[in-house]
Amino acid sequence: MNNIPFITIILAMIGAVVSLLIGKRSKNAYLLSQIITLVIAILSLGLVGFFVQNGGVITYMLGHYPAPWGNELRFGLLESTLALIFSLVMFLAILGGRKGISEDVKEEKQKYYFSFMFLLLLSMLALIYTNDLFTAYVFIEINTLASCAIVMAKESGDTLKATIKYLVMSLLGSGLFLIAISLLYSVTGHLLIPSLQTAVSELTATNSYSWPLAAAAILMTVALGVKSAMFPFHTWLPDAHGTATTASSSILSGLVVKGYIILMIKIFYSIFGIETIRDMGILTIVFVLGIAGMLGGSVLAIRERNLKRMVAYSSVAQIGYIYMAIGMGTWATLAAGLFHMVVHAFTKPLLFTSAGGLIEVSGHSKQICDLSGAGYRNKWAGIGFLVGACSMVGIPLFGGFTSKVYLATSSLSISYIPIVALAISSCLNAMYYLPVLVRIFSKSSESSRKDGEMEATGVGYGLSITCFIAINLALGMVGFALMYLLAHGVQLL
Amino acid sequence: MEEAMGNLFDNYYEMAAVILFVIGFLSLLLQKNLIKKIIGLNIMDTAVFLFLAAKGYVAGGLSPIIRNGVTDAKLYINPLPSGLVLTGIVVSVSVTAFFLALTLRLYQQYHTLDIDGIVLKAAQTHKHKDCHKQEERDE
Amino acid sequence: MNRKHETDQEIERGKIGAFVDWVNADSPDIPAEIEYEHEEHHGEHHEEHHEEKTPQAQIRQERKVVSWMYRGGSLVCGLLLVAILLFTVQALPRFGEREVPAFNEVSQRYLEEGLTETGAVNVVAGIILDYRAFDTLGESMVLFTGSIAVIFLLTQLSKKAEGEEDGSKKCVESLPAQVIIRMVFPIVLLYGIYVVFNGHISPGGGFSGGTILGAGLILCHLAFGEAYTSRFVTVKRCTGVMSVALLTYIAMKTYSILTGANHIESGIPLGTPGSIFSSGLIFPLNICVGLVVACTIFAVYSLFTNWKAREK
Repeated sequence: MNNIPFITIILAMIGAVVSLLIGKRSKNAYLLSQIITLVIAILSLGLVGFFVQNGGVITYMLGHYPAPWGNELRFGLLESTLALIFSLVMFLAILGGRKGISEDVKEEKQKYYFSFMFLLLLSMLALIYTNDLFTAYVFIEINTLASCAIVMAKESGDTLKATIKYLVMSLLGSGLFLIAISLLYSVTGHLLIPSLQTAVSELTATNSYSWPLAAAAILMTVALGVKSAMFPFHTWLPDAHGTATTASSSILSGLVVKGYIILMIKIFYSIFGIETIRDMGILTIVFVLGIAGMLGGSVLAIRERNLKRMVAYSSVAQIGYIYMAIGMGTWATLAAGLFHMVVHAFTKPLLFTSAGGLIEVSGHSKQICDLSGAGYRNKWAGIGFLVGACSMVGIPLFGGFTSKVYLATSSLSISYIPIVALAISSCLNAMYYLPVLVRIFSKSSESSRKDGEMEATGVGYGLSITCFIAINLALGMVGFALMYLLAHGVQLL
Repeated sequence: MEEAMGNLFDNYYEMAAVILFVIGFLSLLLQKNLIKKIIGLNIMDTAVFLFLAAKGYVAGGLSPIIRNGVTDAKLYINPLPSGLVLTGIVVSVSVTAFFLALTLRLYQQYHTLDIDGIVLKAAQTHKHKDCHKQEERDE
Repeated sequence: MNRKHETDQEIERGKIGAFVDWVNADSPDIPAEIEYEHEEHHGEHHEEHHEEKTPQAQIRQERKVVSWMYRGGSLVCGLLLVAILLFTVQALPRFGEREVPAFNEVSQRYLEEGLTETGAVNVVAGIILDYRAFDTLGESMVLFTGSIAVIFLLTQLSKKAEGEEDGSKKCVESLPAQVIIRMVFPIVLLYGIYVVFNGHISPGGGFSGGTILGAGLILCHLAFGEAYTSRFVTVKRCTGVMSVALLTYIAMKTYSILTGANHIESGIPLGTPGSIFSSGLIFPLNICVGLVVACTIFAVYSLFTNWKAREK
């Protein structure tokens, strides 16, 4: 049982290489990616079951040498749940975005695309499981390169430009993260998270090297903030997520930014300890930036006329919710933030997949004004977008509502600001999602020009949308089950 | 304050490294030219490697290759930063190669290396589309 | 737009000059102001039809303001960063001292037990390929990601592009260079192989040796051109070799990590330290890494040189 995380990582690695070798026909690479992702999801499910029964955490020695000398993985309920969710979202996003991939990526190059998908999956699994800061850095770099690569996979001028922007911002983040690790290493002498934890707590107790520690914490927060599109650093996100092919957008917004947030949580809770971070004032900054993101992202989304970019700006707002929850710094809010993260990880890919379908039946125009009646031309996409939008706005029965309730109740005892921000942000969300819904479900007068194009969307697309909707409703109605897992999981951080 | 300055100049390698780091950081951020951005990226990464290598150095220590089977830690420098630098260099090489390839593609597309020029040219192609849209909307 | 004719001039001025021009790009081919004017023309054109000059002018203005804010903001950030980092550096442990936090039991064990535990005389090789092998596995995956991303971007699919190549065989075509490189090439390769094979007993290893091998191939490519090197090494073959080497690497590391994690003896003899066939898996791992690095470097280089920014 305790070999599962390592095996899943290795499976993804092998998949990345093998899909190049067998991918002469893109179908093979596609099937391989689907099979391996599903296997990883099933294995992770087994692991979740194991931890639900037995509890506790396992540290896993990578190689023949114990902790401070060798590398290590560490996993418990939280990590295995997240791994399950990530691989599931990856599976569904590729399933739903398959058509977009074959249209946007050249047939001969699709094997590379699926290889990048594997690399993304493996880097995110490693980020979730790793117990070593330098390993995290290496896998961050894989993540950066692979996510830039899936943005540019479309090879149009726009995507290349977006990729440059994304790459530059990510590299700034990587540079800051690396120097922060070096600073931390030079004052503690460790790279392993538990050893760092003891070393840091000793240093803070004796009040020595307080400045380098603070600098390292600040730089790491900024670095991961840049990479996860924390509000003032979000500038790359709409371009990258808005221009890429459907599957890429789903995965980038649903998963990639989340990997960095999880790493940040690990750094806050497992290395420095949340109280130290609070004393340094970092938590307050994260909280304020989170709220700024909630409002700013929504306002920017209202101004946007391009459907995919609008959905991308909505991600900025949703990431703001998560940072706000982290910034309050209690176990309850952290669990609520993670819950919101999971909901967003399932909802945003649904929105992007539906948006891709809507755009496809509207003459490939991303402008909202061209989408009149698209919800009738592609029914799956229409329903999917409806559910996704309802969830993001926070209509009861949908996942987004539950997560907002959790966010509100957990922050009640702390301050009234989050609740006000939540209310305003929900209204703003409604302000940009409702017009789109009205537009896609209104019979257009000039629909004759692409009438009857009930695109044969294929079984995969429908299945993917159905699964996303089902999960969303499940999160809305029996979300407490997931909340149970997360709330117990975070205690073990 | 004086003590701080003294410490700073004792750590002159690290001081140089962080100054280089910021130079590289700002070049990556501010240079309009993509090639210069890449140069900035490399300066930044190299600065971190200098920092790590300096942190691993011990005055009078030998390189961490066991000589004549003498395994006394006091003889050698700290080997771990060297390993980290090695990893870092490989990462930096891959990223640079990717960045350069992307630059080539952008140059092919827009015939300029200037990031503002690229943005402007891209915006021009968009403008046509937008106007197209505008027409439709007006109708 | 005199850029179009520039290719001819570039050849006259020599490649280095052309490269400098290209980098300076002065700055784009069209100076910024002309670019703006150019845009204005566009604006006016549309104005005739749609009368929406003001929004466009606004956008331009906005962009200027944003650009200045961006520059000012980043400058402030930079100054702040340098202040923070310098202040941090003065608080760090002194340079060159032995009694620093970084030189703790971890590094000591690497130095003191490394030889007996990993069998590698080169402690750094022992660290990256045995103690912290998972990092290095990730690192090879980074290299792999980077190289397939480059291949993805720069592979030209149209067959025409290959046909056009005949006119421009990209090689120096100078006899002295060819003669010298013909003599040096085997030595470079041999040296690269030496560095790879001795990675665990002397400075070097897969990464440095692989770079030397790749550099040797690049030399060959420079002197004799694509037509010659493609007889024994092409991008496609590089990808193949790289994939196989990486799979071998993953397989070996999986074995060693799985046995280690489950507390099973790996059963791989360490050999006598100092001889070539020693230090267990480190020796074959170095070979795999060397192959991956050499293939990556050559593939990336040949893609870059073969890339032609096709006019239009």
